[in-house]
Amino acid sequence: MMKKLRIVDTTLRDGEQCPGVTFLPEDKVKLALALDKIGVFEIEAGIFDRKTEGREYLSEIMYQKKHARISLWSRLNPADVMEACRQKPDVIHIAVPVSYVQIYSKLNKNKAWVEKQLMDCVEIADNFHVQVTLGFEDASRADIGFMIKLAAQAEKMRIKIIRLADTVGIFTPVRAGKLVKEIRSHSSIMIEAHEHNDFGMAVANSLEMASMGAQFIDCTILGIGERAGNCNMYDFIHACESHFDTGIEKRNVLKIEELLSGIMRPDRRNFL
Amino acid sequence: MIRIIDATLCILDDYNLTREQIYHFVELMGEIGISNLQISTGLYERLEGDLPDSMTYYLEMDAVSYMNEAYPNDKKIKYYFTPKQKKREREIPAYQINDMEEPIRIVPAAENSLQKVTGLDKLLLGGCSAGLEALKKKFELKQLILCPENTYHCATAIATLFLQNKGYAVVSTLLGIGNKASTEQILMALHVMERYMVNQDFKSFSRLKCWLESVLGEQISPMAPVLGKRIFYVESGVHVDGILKKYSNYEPYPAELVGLEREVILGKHSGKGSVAFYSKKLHMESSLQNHTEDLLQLIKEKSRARGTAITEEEFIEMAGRYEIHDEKA
Repeated sequence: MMKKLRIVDTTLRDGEQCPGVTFLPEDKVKLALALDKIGVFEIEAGIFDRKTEGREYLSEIMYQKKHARISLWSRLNPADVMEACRQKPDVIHIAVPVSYVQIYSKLNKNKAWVEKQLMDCVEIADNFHVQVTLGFEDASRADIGFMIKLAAQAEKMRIKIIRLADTVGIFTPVRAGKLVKEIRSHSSIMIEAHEHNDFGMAVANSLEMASMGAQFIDCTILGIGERAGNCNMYDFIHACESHFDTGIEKRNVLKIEELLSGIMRPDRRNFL
Repeated sequence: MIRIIDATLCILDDYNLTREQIYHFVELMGEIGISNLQISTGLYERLEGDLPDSMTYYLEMDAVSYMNEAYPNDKKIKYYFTPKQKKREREIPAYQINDMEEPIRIVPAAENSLQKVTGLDKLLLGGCSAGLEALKKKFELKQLILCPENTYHCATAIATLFLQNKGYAVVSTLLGIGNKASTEQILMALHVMERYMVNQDFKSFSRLKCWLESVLGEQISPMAPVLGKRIFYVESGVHVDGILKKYSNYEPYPAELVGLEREVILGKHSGKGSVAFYSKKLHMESSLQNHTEDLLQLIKEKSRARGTAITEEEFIEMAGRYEIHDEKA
């Protein structure tokens, strides 16, 4: 029997971060419902920010979806987490910067600050009874010791899933697989793989992470996303179907690719 | 030693490349540090044997040419890829193997000789360790030239893994055309991860992209790894903020290294940093300093309503309203 693998779609969040790709709220609803229909386990619907896209689209998705979990992405910021929780999604995904580049150079903070913010943010989500998943942002450039420590803390806070985000897309399969193996050897937390395609290895890296025990794989339709994009859902399912069962039919992904191509305005389609 | 043999010219055999196009390509490949090229007999004939000196050449032969001995014998050609057999010193027997389980009889390579394998699309599907072990069981990696194919979008990863494990050489093409691994992706992955060719200038990638676009007669995807025009464009507030502080916060390597430009796009996901960036760029800082938040909301609203990014002209027009308002006040 083939191993089960769950697909997390992030077209509506990371996919939309492809510069110039902008979904209207009704586009997001259409895409989310189509993804729900084909058996995607989780749909990352966006980054909650009332000023950016309002809240109606999310409540519409939550009301109409049948199976998928709907998540909102949030920075490691208690105010943002609180706002996101108020929208009542199934899951809040909190992005935790873990590399020194992100913590010290970008945020001008330190590791103690990250740990403290994490506890505060999770407590807020707990108070709202919203499930939390954590994203280790820039995991491919981070110190493994710090990630293992954070994973242990997360387990204590009853968090069940950690996303390892290859934020700048520099993983090769062996390094990506080793990281999954290392974290799993120190913790029973479940792993979600989030790959970018800067070296054309997003599919291979995701496959290797799945082989090493990651249970969730992040994808986008047509592979859209920041820079060279994310792991392309069709390509990934095509590559993994001899070893894993994602529960998603490839031909149904093609239908959503058509839907997305139709949604994107003609002048935006040439982004792909 | 890492060897990458670029086979782009072979794949484009049917495009009737002119002499000038071929020489230009060879020159650009040299500029990005590639010194091994796979060529075809057709291409050799088009150049009338006048191969540029700067490269090491590998000539790929089809079975008929080989059987009829209808191929050039030229000292400038270092090796000949021959179909499954070796009769002479400089010949390398080439095999097509799609799956390691295939019962193909392969004559083990003699000491100090090479073999070439094309295919192995499925090598990593069951995991890297299993794939690599299966390959090592059948071949001596240091005597193998591997040309992985890309049916499962893993060819670049296979080629990189093979080189990291001391394989003799890989065969790849620009943009991975012909269902191959991609030369530019392998090169940049090794450059970033293994500090390979640490002082090499890769700006000519952008000229190679133009070369390929002119030959193919179509635009390369702006999202294509390494070559895509828009891969260093950035819109979201978090990313713009990070990039403006330090490029390495969100870039795997600097845009300039591969001859590309970074650009801040204004749209639904922009943050205050993007408004500040454009205010500074357009020398409007003083007039807009108290209106960043309002201007950002206008940008987001317009982008959201229209479903597109905001152009620089539109930003100037929006910003102009505040300037006029301030003058009146």
